[in-house]
Formats: sequence, structure tokens, C-alpha cells
Amino acid sequence: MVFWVVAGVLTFGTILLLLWPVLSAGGEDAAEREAGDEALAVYRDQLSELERDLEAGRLGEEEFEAARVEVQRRMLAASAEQGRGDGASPATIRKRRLAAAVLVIFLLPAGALLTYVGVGRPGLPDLPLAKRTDGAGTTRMAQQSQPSAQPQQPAGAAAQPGVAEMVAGLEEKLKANPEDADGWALLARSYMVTERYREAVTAYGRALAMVPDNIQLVAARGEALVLAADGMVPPAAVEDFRKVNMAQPQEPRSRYYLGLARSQAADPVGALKWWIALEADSPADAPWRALVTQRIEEVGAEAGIDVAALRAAERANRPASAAPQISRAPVPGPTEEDVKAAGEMSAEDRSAMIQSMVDRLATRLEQEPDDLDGWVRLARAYGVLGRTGEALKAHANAARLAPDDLQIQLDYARALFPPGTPESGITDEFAALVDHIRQIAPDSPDGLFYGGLVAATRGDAATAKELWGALLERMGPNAPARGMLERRIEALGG
Amino acid sequence: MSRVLYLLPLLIFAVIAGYFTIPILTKKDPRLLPSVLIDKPAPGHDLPALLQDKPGLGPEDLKGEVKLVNFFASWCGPCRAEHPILMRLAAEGAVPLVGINYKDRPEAAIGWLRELGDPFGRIGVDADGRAAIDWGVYGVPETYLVDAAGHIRHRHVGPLTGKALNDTILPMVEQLRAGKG
Repeated sequence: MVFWVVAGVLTFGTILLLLWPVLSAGGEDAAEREAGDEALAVYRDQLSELERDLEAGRLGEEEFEAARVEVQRRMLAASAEQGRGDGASPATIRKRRLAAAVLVIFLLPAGALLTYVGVGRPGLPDLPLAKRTDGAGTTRMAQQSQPSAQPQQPAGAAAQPGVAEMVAGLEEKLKANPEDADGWALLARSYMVTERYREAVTAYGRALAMVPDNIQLVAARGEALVLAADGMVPPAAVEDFRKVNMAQPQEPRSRYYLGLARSQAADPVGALKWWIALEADSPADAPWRALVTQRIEEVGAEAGIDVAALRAAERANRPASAAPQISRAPVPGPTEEDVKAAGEMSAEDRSAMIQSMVDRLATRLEQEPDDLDGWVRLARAYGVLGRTGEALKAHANAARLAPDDLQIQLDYARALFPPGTPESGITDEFAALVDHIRQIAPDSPDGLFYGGLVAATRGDAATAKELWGALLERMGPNAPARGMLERRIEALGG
Repeated sequence: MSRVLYLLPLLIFAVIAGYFTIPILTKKDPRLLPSVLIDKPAPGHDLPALLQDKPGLGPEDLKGEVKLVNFFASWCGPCRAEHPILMRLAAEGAVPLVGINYKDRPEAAIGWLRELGDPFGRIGVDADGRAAIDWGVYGVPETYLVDAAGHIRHRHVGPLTGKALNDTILPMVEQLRAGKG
């Protein structure tokens, strides 16, 4: 709206400037015509003077004729000049002026409008934040993915008088009673609202120290870390989101930020993998969907990647990739009633129920340590709860009971060396396990990769090269990990 | 005669417009800052270490292998933006990274690296910016590609981007390594 007002005022001003000379030109023309009339009068005077001279006998008949013709010739020339300049009658002049004025008044705005409609983009948003890859658009996702219970208020909520007092009151209360996890979480959320992100990180940390398994809090701290880092996703936040993603693979916020982290690390392929999967899983009316779609288009265009093909591939993959998650290991899970009950519970009750079931299972396994299915189930449950240390122990027990089951051995390896750990984290235990995996399944891609990794960290470049080379042959030409592997092999050779 | 004078502003404008337009039309990017140090030995400075468990930077440390030298500072916003790219390069082992911490408080720099991760193999402290002057640093972040002989081969002004990395820097790294044999 403001735009149209400004444009209108500018156009009006331009019209005035153009009309000015047309309207003020009248006086000048009149003066010119006056000058012409004066010249004619002079010639007429000269003619009458000539006649007087003839009568007085000062001029001969022939001389008079010649002079008269000369003066008349000049008169004609003068009146012809006047006619050529603007010989038209004042009425036509007025008409022409009117035409010029009408032309300026109508044609100029019409031309401007037509040009703008053709060239301009009235709907263009001003500096689309979400399109910026420097993380400046992150606040939007942050606001949209807040639980809906929290009112969406614009930034600058610090101005709200109530919040500051509430924060102060909470701080006081927590000083007296620092063991209040809910209090810390509430304080952290208040800090988020008032944009004190660093303090929010600390407060979430305090809350998580008491309830380390609360996935919502982990996700919230990850987001606080991102906002504290001006929209960049720091490693600590990646760790948080990864934890959330392992526990709740569908949780959109963590998936979005994990994609953002890849995008910020100049890895468009990795970013698109996260976002396109997220987009495919998002309901059409999800508030974050438009943002995700926009980011996909943006990153795809920038990197020259055909996102339409990737989307199609994702859709084709969908049923296949969902199946193994469900069908994995035919162990008896919770009964139907349990699941139904869990569905009706609040999030806290549900996690309490899972806790108690896990604890029951753990106690039973202490007495019957040879129950393979039990250990597999327990390991998975601990993994979901984020209790990685205990998950590792359960994985170890399962691996001990099923030394020839490749999948179980690989799960154990993954628990020992989770994706994203630095390579210095490779232990002898892990190396021995990898050797074992290579023995039971020499062709397993995971085994080949881990084997190469162990060899590389031990400085055995030849073996690493051989194993990774074999893995490369097994990979499709478009496998996303291919580039990473090729770079690793090159790094060995260099 | 005096009418011609009225055209003078137009003429001046045309000359100025031409001056600015021709570099754009001939694809000469005015943002490119050529470095006089390209293909010259990188300046040798003895820069103290930032971290206790990570070496600083001596004059000889720039030789031996192809590497990227990155000037950074905790107070610098664009450094934050390029940091994930450096982290990725470090994680992939694509090319060794040397950091030079420019005009920074050590505790701020250490906190910054603790928050965002530390991709560097060595970090030297250039507290007064003297080394940066010799390198010809225009403003942080700035990244130099140094070959095995310790010569500067490429200079990237501003935060690293995926495009600069994939189109220029990594290919040059490969080329330099291949040239070495």
C-alpha cells in the first residue's frame, strides 16, 4: 500500500514538472507576436513616410516605386516569418497545448503502470529472510516449530513488562531450589522469548542435567544453541539434534536443523537429503512446510541439483524405507493394550511407562543373561531413551550371544562408534569387532568401510585403500557417500 | 554555441557510466582483489600457539604439504558463517587447515572454538595483526592456499562458500598435489 502511495506521489510530481513549461509558455509566445506586429507597424510608417516624401517632391516617381516595393517586400517577409513561427490562431495554439497536457497527464502514468506491470513484481517480498543461507532466516523456523501452546509473539517480547519480572522471580526461586528441572525448563523458555539465547542454553543444560532423557528439552536446547550462534548450527547443536533424531526419527525440527547444518557446511546434497525426506513426511498444512520447500528450491537452484528428480526418488523409496523399521526383529514388543494406553497418555506419562518397562526388562535380563531377543530389545529401548552407555552394554551382550548375526554385530559396531564421532574415538575393542565382522561377512559394505577406517587410523594406507576401493566398486555411481569415500581415498594417497 | 554547453553534463555522465559499465560487460569482477603475493613465498612469522595442546605456527611449518591458511577471529561474523565448511573439510580430511587468530582475545577465541568446533591442525596467534599485514589480509575471514614449497597460490577474500570451494580451491589442491608427484 505504502508503495503505491509513494509511486503515485512521484508520478504526480513528474507530471507537474512536465506540465510546467507547457502552461507557462503562453507569455513568451505573446511577446514574440508583439515583436512581429511592431515590425509591421514600422514598415507601415515607412510606407506613409515615402508617400509624404513623394508629395513633397523629395522623391522621384521611379525612386518612390522602388523604395515602396522594397518596403512591401520586407513587410511580406516579416508577416511570413510571423506566420511560420506560430502563425496559427490563438485557438489552435490552445488546442495544441491542451493536447500536450492531456498527453502528459494520461500517457505518463499509463506508460509507467504498463511498464511496471510488465517488468516489476508487485508481490515480491522485501528481502526474503528465509532464503538467506547465512542462517538469518532461522528464527522463522524457530518460531513456527515452537509448541502451539506458546503464543507466537514477535521478537522484542522483552518489551513486555510481565516477562522480565517473571524471569527475575524464577531466577530467585531456582537459586533457592536448584533441583527443579521444570523450573529450569520454564526459565529457559522465558529466556528464549526474551532472546537471551546464551542464557537459555545454560538453563536448558541445567534442566537436562536432571532429566537427561527428555527429548523435547534436548531439541529445545539445540535450537537455543543455533539462535545463540546467530543462526549457524554449531557442533553441540548438531549433537543435540542427532540425539533427537535417533530417538524420534520423525521429529521435524531436528531434521530441519540437521539439513541446515549440512547446507551451512556447503554440502547441498546432504542438506537436500534431510529436507526432501522431511518434506515428504510433512502434512500439507504443516506450518514449516512452506519454509522447507523454499529452502529445497533455493539450495537446489544454487547447487544446480535437480530437486524434482530427488523428490520423485524419495517418493519411490518411501514404502521400502518405512518397512524395515517396522519389521526389524520379530521380538515381542509391548502388547496392544500397552500401545493403546501409551497413545492416550501425556508425553511424560508415556516416557515414565517406557522407563518402567525398560527397567523391568533390564532386571529380568540380569537374571537370564542369555536371552538374545531381550538384549536386542533393551539395546533399542536404551537407544531411544538416549541412554547410550547402557545401550552399548546391551548391544555388547547381544553381540556376545549371536557372534554370527551380521546385523547384530553391526548394531554393536555402530553403538561403539556412532556416526559423527571423530576418528580418534576408534578403540581397540572397535577394531577387534570390525575384524570379526569382516570374517563373518567379507563383502558387507559396512564392514569394508569400518575396516578401511581402522586401517587408515593405524596408518596402514594400503589396506585402507584396498578395502575402500572394494567398497567403491560395490556402490552405485550415484551413491551419496561416494564422493566422501573418494576424497578419503585421495587423502590417503596424497 | 552556448547550447553545446548544456550537453556537457550529459557527456560527463556518459563517460562515468561507461567507466563503471565496461568492467561489468567484460566480466572483470570488481570484487576480485588480486594479491601481489600470489606465487611468492608466504611470509614467515613465529606465531605463538593459541591452545596448549596444539602447536603454533613457525616459519618452517608452512612447507611440506598443500594446506589452507585461514585468518579468523571470534568477533567476526562471516567467520562464523564459513566455520561449518572448515569443520567439514577437517572431518573429511580433504586438506590440512592452519588457523591464524587475528587481533583477538585468546579466551574469546578459545571459547569460540569450543562452541563451534576446532578444524585446525595448527593455530597461531596474531594478536597485533602484524602477520596479517605481511600476508596482505584485507579483512577477516580470509583464506590462503599454500603449496608444499610454502608459496601462496590462491587467496580467497571473505567467507568460504561451497562454490568457491568446489570450483576453485579443491581443484587447485588436487592440481598442486598432482604437480608434486
